[in-house]
Amino acid sequence: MPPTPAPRLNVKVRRKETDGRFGQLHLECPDEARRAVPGQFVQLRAPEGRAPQQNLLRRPFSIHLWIDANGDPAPSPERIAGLAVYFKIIGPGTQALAALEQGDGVDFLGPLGVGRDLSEPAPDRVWCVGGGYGVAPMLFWGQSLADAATEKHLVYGINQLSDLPAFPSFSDGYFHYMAKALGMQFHLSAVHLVRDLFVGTCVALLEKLLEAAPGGVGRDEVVACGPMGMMKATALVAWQRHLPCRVMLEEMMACGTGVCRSCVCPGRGEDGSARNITTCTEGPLLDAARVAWDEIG
Amino acid sequence: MAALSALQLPDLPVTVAGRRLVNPLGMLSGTYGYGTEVANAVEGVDLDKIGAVFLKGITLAPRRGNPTPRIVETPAGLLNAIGLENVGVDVLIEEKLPRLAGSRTSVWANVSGSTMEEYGEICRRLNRVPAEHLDGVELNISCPNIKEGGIEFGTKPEPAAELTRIARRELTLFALMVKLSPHCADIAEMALACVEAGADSLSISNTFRGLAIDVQKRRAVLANNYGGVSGPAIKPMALAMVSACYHALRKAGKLVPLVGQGGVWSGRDAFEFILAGATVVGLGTVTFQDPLAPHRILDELLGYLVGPRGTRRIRRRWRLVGSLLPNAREW
Repeated sequence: MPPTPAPRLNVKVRRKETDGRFGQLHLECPDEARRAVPGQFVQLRAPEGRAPQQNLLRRPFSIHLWIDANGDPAPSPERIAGLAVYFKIIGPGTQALAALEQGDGVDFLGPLGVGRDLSEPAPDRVWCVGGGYGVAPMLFWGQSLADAATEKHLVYGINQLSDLPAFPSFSDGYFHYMAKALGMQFHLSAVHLVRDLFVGTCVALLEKLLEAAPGGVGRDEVVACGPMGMMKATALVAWQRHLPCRVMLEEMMACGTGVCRSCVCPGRGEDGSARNITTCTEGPLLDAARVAWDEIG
Repeated sequence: MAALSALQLPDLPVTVAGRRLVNPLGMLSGTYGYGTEVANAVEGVDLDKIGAVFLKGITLAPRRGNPTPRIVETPAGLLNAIGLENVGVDVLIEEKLPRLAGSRTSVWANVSGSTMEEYGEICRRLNRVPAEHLDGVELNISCPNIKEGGIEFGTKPEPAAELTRIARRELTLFALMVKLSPHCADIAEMALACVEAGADSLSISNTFRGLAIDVQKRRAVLANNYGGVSGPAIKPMALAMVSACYHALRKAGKLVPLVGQGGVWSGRDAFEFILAGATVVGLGTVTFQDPLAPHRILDELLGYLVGPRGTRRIRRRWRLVGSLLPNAREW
């Protein structure tokens, strides 16, 4: 991946959506957006003054979508005007970001990390599995395959209905709506019983969908993002069916450039030896076989 | 001001143990990898315009460090327990140091160990490095995040002096700096002990032991439980320690260049450390927020050094180091 552009202190927020638990920001950064690929992330920080005591570092967020000048998913590369991020409001950093308004500036560094090579051949069918807010980068994955003949599935797992974002403009159908808009078939699972929904994890749902997949699973591909246990289970399901599987790792980060060594994940080198993988520069997107799953609880 | 000063004064060189640094800003060990990563990752970072780089702390054998989470933000600071993850001294010498050979930045290796012999062996190996690959060695006697060694040498003057003597004996070709720990009874006493034992320079100081708690889980946030606090939260403590060491060393007639560090976020912060007695100012946590911080802070610092009579104050900058006026009768 080429070097990341220097950080910018004043990237404009074009649109903000929040329901108090989740947030979504549209950021006006056409140059950075055109360089971004699915799997990569940006680091964001709301300007000082909002939470100065506890808002020192930018927070990493996977890139959610390319957006156009109207704030819709960009239909073609020429129309890219910015990036969207989707996040869960957890601590002071995300609270400050969710409090931003349209026109406010945000401290921005990105795109960072390794994502999908856009020149790689598109698979016949792709299963994008997102657990919780790990679903965020999956829309971008689908969007980047818009021109390909690939059959795209979004498999989204939540615990209960209250885990769905309820953005004012979309009610709780945000991901359903966006998946349809991007040509992805939408599948939702919930761990706790919800009427008309698959009951279980998104990995169990993926298994069921793979069993029933018409024409078998020849040149299918699986990509997963979410809690470590969920990615581990997804990797196992894919491995049992000899499907290529990639995961997007999430770890607490400070620098985003590979120096602070805080976001490491136990993994394997190319020669199979045990070593730490640096999530921010070697990932977040990784072949599932590179991760030492047995060392992860 | 910044643009003008940058044009007229591209450099602001200082000398540490006979090594010329292009400017008084150093990137601190553990926050700048093996020197080249940030410049490769982010556009606009120029290693040639960074005074010194203190490389990631190394041990004799490679270490994988602590489990994650290794880091968490705390009020006005950062708590980390990386656990000295590093490639080991041999890989440093063979792979990492040659990559920095073409750069104008001054390169310092940072050494940690669990026994005195280990420190000695690492220094022996580093002493065989070609002179264009390395300027000096920083002894880390203050890492709070590993179970054995490290900080034990940093809490009392006698073992710190003994360790300095061992390193001094092995390092015949390179400068020797000792990175003191804030966790000692009297840091000025530590500083004197290390200088008397042969240190060319001191680095003051390191992170402060800290704990962050997840109340929902009723657990420590970090996998290592405890970590070290860095960032603006520790700046006043760090300034006091730099000042105390500066005055103790000066009084004893044993003044050496000091690397002041702790929460520097701006040129003003850097200038405060210079006034307190630091010849070189270390940047650490700030680079996690702003990879271009060394360039921005240098520009801001020049603003404090260039007076109404232009460059004259620059030439007299050595008088600025430690020039802080006391309010009480003496320091």
